[in-house]
Amino acid sequence: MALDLRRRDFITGLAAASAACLMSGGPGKAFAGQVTDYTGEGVEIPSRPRRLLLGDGHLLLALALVHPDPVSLLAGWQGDLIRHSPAIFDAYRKRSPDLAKVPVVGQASADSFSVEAAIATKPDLAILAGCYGPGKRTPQIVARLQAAGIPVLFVDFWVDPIRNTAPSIRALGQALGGESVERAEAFADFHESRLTHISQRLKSVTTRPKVLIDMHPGAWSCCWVPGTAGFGHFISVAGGENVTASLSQLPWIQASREYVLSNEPDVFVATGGPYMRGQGGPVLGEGVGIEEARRTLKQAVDNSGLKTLKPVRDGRVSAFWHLFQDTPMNVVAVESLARAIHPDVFSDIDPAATMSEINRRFFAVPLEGCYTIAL
Amino acid sequence: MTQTADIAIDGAPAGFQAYRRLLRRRLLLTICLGLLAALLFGVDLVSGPSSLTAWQTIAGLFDGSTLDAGQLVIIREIRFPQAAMAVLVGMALALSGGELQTVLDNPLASPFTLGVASAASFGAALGIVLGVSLPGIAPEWMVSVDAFVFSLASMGLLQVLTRVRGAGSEATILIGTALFFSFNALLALTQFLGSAQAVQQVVFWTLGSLSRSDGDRVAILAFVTLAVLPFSLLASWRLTALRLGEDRARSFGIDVSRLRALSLVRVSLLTATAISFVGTIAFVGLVGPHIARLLIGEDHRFFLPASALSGAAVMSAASIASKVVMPGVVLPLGVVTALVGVPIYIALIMARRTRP
Repeated sequence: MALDLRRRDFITGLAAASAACLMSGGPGKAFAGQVTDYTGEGVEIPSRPRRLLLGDGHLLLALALVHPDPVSLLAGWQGDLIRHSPAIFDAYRKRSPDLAKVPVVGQASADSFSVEAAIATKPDLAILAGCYGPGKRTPQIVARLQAAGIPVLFVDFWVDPIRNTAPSIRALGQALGGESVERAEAFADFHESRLTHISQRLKSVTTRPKVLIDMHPGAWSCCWVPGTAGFGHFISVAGGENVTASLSQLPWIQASREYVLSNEPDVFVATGGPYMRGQGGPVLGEGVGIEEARRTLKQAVDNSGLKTLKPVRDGRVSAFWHLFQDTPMNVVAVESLARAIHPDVFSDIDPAATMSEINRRFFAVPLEGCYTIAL
Repeated sequence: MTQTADIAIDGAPAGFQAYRRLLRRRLLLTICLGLLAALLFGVDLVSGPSSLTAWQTIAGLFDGSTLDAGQLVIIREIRFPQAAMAVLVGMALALSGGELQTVLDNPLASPFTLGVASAASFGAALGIVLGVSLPGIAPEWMVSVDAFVFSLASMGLLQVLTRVRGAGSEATILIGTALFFSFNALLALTQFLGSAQAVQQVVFWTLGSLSRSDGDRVAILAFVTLAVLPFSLLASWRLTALRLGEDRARSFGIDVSRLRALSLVRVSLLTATAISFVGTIAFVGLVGPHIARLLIGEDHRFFLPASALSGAAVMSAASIASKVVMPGVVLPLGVVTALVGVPIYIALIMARRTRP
């Protein structure tokens, strides 16, 4: 096994070296060489990158927004997408069978990220998101990658996704150069215009209905709810008041059921994923049909211990894919929330249609499944 | 001769009376512990983040006509099951700890030293991470059942292995420790294989929580505890004799191996049921018996009930503290139990030291 890995690294190394030779001689599109990341810091990228290291496996989705064949760019990646989103992995592998051969350099946390394996993949650019892998909080890993001569670009879809998605995507496009620059620009514009549309219309709306987001109800013990960060911030962007905002400044905290029941919301929103199959929680995401999503959401709410809440009685229950919290399509979750919170104001918004539009206009490999649902 | 006989006859009633006084003191202390546990249970019941008054809460248990549906759910499905679960878990774990400390002749023994909790955590992790479940088990019971099955199985394995080895207390502790490390390694392996979401769930499971309590779980644990307690009390004089040493106990005609084996069966049932419902709450099984021993001594007729009551009091206090410290947020119960139990424990040890 170890021997196999080394041999493969050697061969891919050779291939990379020869590709680099060819490239340096041939004509290439103009390449800036200097990219500004979402924090405003400049990153020096000596040559147009051809071998990327993804510190978070889910960054493949960001890459797929700005490049027609994202898998062809991978030198190595973190294992979180294979683990957490096997259906998405399968969809990409069906399109590009080589994805299964891309070296996996870690599991689903910064601790499990192997710097040695990462350097051995000989990347010419490392993209770090700091959610399921290394990032700004693991400077020792960043320093070692940089010491090995690998430029590091930080992107963020997790800490402050509302603000950082567009600049992160733009930086990614700049870093890859060529047509990726325009593709990134187009997606960033799309993301921003969608958010602006919501904020513009909310200017004339004075009510701020109370919203409860419950992570994986029915499967996890009650109740994992957002503080002011993460989806908590999504709620205020979508024109609601997060009933659990006062509990924490973190993206998630465990609230007691009594607290939730005695601070009754107007709108109940659940999160779920395909990994909730057989666990009792809402099943949503890649490869999930509308019927299954609706049925499992109903079941999850029935078993959540929150059945007596007003929104459940009134039928104001909806759900979306949990991983919108750390992927660039997060505006779909914001729209889903806006629609659930102000159904009259946003009757023209359809998060499923937005998802289709992202698939049609941007994604190299479309995501197919039910990502948002309302009961 | 006659003189010594006179002294014996004169002395006997005096000694007898001293013994009676001692018994009365122990009984009184046990009753006080019971009252304290009941008081803390009451406070636990009426404290929480919603605006219910104490009177509304207590009235709501019996007559719900004046309250709305949400308040009734809070009182009957959250407050009461959680407060009752705290009491029962405290009793079950502290009683187990008390018996174990005696039969293993080791003051550090608790249900957790023998690997039961690690086995339960491993079982829970199998359910949470890999969805391993016995056929016909509803999803909401899966994790509890897995934890229960694994902790019982680990105690069964311990029994079999110590039988082969000759049933000494030392062998039990050594093999139990080996099981502890084995199951912890398996738990770590399961976590390594799990997704971030699942691993987080496993971690929170192992930290303990009362929020999974419901009427069914309370009824099951109450049944197991009430069914086991009489057998513990029946064995109490033999356990007291065992405190004098294994050889002395044998000389009274006690079958020590059998006593130890049966005690382990009781401990397995209590511990497995309790931790499969609330997760691993380690400290109460150690500190409950020590509080009882410091107050009452070694007479197991009082020591065992006092252990159970101390455990109940500590757990209720922990439950109250977890609601008061950060209102609305669920703090891990295992953490709070240790933080609440340690000061009581140390205060008792210090108080005893300073006595002449």
